[in-house]
Amino acid sequence: MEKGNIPSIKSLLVLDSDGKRIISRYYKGEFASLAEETAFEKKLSDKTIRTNAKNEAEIVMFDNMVTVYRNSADVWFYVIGHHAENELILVAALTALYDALTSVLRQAPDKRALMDNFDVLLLCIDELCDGGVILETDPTTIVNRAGMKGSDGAPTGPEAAFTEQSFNNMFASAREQLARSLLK
Amino acid sequence: MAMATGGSSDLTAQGAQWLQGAKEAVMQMTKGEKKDEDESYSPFQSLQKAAVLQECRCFNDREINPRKCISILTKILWLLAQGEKLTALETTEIFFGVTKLLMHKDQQLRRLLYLVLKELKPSPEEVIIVCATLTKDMNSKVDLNRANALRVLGAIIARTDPTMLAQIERHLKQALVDKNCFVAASALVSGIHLMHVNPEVVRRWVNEVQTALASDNPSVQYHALALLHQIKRQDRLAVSKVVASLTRTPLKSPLAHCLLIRFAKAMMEDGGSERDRALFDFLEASLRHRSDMVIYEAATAICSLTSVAQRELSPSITVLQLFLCSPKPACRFSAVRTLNKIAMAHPMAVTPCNMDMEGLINDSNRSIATLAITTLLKTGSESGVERLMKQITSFMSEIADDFKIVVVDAIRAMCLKFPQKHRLLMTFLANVLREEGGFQYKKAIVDTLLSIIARVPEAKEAGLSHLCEFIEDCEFTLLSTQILYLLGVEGPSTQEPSKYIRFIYNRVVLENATVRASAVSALAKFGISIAYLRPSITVLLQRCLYDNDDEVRDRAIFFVTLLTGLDSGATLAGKSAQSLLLEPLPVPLAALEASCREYLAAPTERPLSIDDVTIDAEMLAKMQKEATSKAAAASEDAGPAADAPAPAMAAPAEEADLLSRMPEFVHVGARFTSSKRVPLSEVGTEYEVVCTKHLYASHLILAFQLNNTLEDQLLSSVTVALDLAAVPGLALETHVPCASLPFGQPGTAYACLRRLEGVPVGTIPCTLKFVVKDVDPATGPTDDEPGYEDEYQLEELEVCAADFMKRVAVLDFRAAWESVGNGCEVVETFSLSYNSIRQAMEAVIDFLGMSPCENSAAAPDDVTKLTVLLSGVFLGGMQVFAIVNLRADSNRAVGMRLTVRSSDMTVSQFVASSVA
Repeated sequence: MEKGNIPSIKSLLVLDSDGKRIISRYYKGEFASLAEETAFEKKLSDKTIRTNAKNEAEIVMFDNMVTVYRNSADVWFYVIGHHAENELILVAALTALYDALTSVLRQAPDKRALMDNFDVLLLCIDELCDGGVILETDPTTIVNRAGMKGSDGAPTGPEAAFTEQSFNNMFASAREQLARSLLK
Repeated sequence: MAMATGGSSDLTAQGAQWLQGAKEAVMQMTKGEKKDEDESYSPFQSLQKAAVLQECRCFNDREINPRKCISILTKILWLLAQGEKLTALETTEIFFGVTKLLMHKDQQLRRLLYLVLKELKPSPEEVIIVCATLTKDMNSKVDLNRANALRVLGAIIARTDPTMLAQIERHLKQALVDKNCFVAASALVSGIHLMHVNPEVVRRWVNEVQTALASDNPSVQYHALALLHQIKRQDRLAVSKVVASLTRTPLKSPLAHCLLIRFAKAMMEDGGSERDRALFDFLEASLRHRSDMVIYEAATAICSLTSVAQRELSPSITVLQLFLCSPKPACRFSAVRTLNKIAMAHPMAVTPCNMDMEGLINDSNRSIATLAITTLLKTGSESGVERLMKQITSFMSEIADDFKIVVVDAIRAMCLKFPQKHRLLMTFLANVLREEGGFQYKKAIVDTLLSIIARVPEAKEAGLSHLCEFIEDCEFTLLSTQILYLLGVEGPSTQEPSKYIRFIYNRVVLENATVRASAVSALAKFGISIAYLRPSITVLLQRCLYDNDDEVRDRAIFFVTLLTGLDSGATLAGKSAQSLLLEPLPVPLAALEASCREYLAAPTERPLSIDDVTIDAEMLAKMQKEATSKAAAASEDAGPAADAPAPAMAAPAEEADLLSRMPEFVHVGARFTSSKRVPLSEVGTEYEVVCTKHLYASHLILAFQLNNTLEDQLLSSVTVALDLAAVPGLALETHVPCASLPFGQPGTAYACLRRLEGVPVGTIPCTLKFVVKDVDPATGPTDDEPGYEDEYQLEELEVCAADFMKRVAVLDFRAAWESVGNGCEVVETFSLSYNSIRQAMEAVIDFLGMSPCENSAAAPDDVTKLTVLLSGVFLGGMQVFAIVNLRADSNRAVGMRLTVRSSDMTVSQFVASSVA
């Protein structure tokens, strides 16, 4: 590693259990074409799919890069760094992403939830990492910023939370109730 | 529902939206029945780009439905994420729709728009529009808008048109010190990206960044530190000031702390031999930080310091040992990875962790297990080898090939460390060689066996028979030929060479053409080296004369002729069969190939001879690079036992011999000796120049290794101008300039000097002359610019007596000393100012350029009296001997008596005077 480099993320991937891409971000543009990227993703998935990474971030040296990854239901999150990168920093980024998604989706992320809330996934990644530079690792802050609710990790206040969050929830549940009664 | 009634106008809008939403929900529910059965459900299934683009039209509607727009934008982002490409026209279309949407008040929609703008990669004309649109956001009262606008603009400008920065510089600069942490952090991160493309502008923000560094917010502090370091990177003094002041105050952010550790470490590495105590204390204090990542960063930093003492390692090893037992795989991995690295240089320091690492052999993460095994192999004591190998044997069957290769490499290192254990380790390798495995794995095992055979002489016979068994059943042609070649080289010198013949001849009978051909060559080598086997081998080779492969037949005919002619003393092109077959080529194969090609392109009357082969500078540079990388790999491989300078010294000698094969220098003859590498500029300056002096019978070739450290410059036609006025005995003959010297790619320039008379010594002022072109590091060089001439003052190059002396040690110094006699003896006494005898001795050896004999230079640090015996060969081939008596006089003075003998008085005097 070059002397005194900023800790950085080379790429960040979210794949499903078949190794298919849900989202991938290559910050250093190391692959020239889409085909190479998908081949890499498939290889990485094959290598890691049989390991248990449900509760803790697992780690592997892959293609001379440090890769930390975590699995939730049928999706796999990968954070990849330079081979000499501090792996615990990468784990911090991975955990931040995972926790932010869990909190915003109100469930452990799975493929369906991520696809239904694809914009949320993209925004969380965008708030976590800007062009490879780790921007923020506090999950609450990430959630607040992605939702345009506040610029830091402070709870947006009980009042604010009520009008914004629970209001939407009420609407959603009322909508669903009505839909159900209409269908019957 | 009463909650919804905020205002009457809102109510209608909300109501309409709500009804719309309800309708969609109903639709979804009906679909939902189906989609539960369909496993590969995706909201983006069968999404067509054209359809989405069609939908984008609603961005221009008068009444904008934010939900709908978000859904369309998400679809666009999905397409982009899947690798779909948009044409310039499509991008423009979406782009204008998006800029319209920015008028809308909905915050969630706005957030997504920022992301879309970044992803779209707008063209330079569109960037101007983005700037104009987002300027309003940059002045917005809403912090989130400000921060996001800064990030978007930073990213877009860094990617498309760095000159646009001037337009928004004012806003960015202001934002750096914004009260809101998100705004400040966003501006700082944009700065980090922009630093790569437009460093001049970003450097002007240094005061604001410094203010941001004092922020209470961890994230702001972290990014400010990163940017500040990038701004001041060139200025070592400024960086050291920043680092020194920060090490005293605790940092809030663990990331910033990690970064500071990296800077501190880089400074300690640059600082030379004097290690900064304060920085080291800072690293050590960081081991007690509450955050794991900081502890680990500090531990790795200490462990990877060059010249770290074992005592200094122990606190780091202790924290890493705790990590080994952590429930987190990443922690265990990080610890064992670092321990694995230190195990090379300080195996003793790692041994306290051996118990913990043995526990990791069964770790569910195979990467951790492999690292643990290889570390144990490096640190294990000789007595523990058996136990360890037993554990590995069961482990080997469960891991993938690439992990196995790592283990095999570690076994190689271990075998070289404990040669007595070769029997056990070789048996292990032979066993795994028989098991299933891919080519890379088998090759690693064979390579390991080969290197053990080469380094441990007792292992040779056993190793060869293992390999013989392996080729009986080997499916890889490359490995078979490699082993057959080795059998040919090593087999004849074993105790019972005839037993290998059967194995080799079996290959001739059973294998494919390539293997057959190399088997034929191997057989012939036995025939040439061992006279009593010659008749039987000739018979075997004669059977190959009717082989159906051309190459095999050709080789067989060639060797049969050679062998039958050997007894009658026939030669081929003036060379005996032994030298033809058993000695390596005098030139590299690539050069020979190039010469053959040239000859074929333009054949002459005269046949091509090996003496005509020349080497061009490009090839020499390539070989240099390979040699250094090989040497680096070798020194890493060999570990602490091998002394590092040895391979580094050997490589230049080899390449220096090839120097006289360059077309410009063919006339200089054979090389006499080469000097050490002398730096002509300090490390880290604009252009780094290192000179090596190569001495020939009547020439002196100066090889200048050049390195350009300026990212934004491309140098061409680089020469080192020499002012020879002070050294009358030398005349410049030719310059070979370095054609092109881009940033970070070292090049070489040469100067050839002719020696007119005597032994010219003196100092030569040097100037680096070149044509410089400005390069944009982001876009690469531009061809149209002509560049301008410039020069750079270098330090003076000294030509001294040592340059004319070749280091040659003699075995029996006393006898040689007596045989020269005292006819031409010169005795001189000096008083030198050195701190210790050792320093004085090293300096004198350097001055004289002679080699110490009979291990007389191996002195402990604290001696007060020392006699060093030196010998060397002076230019022209005259042997010179010297006895140096050293005595520590007082605190800083060393007394020296120098006695020089040779067969020529002038030479003795010249050598003796060179110390003064």
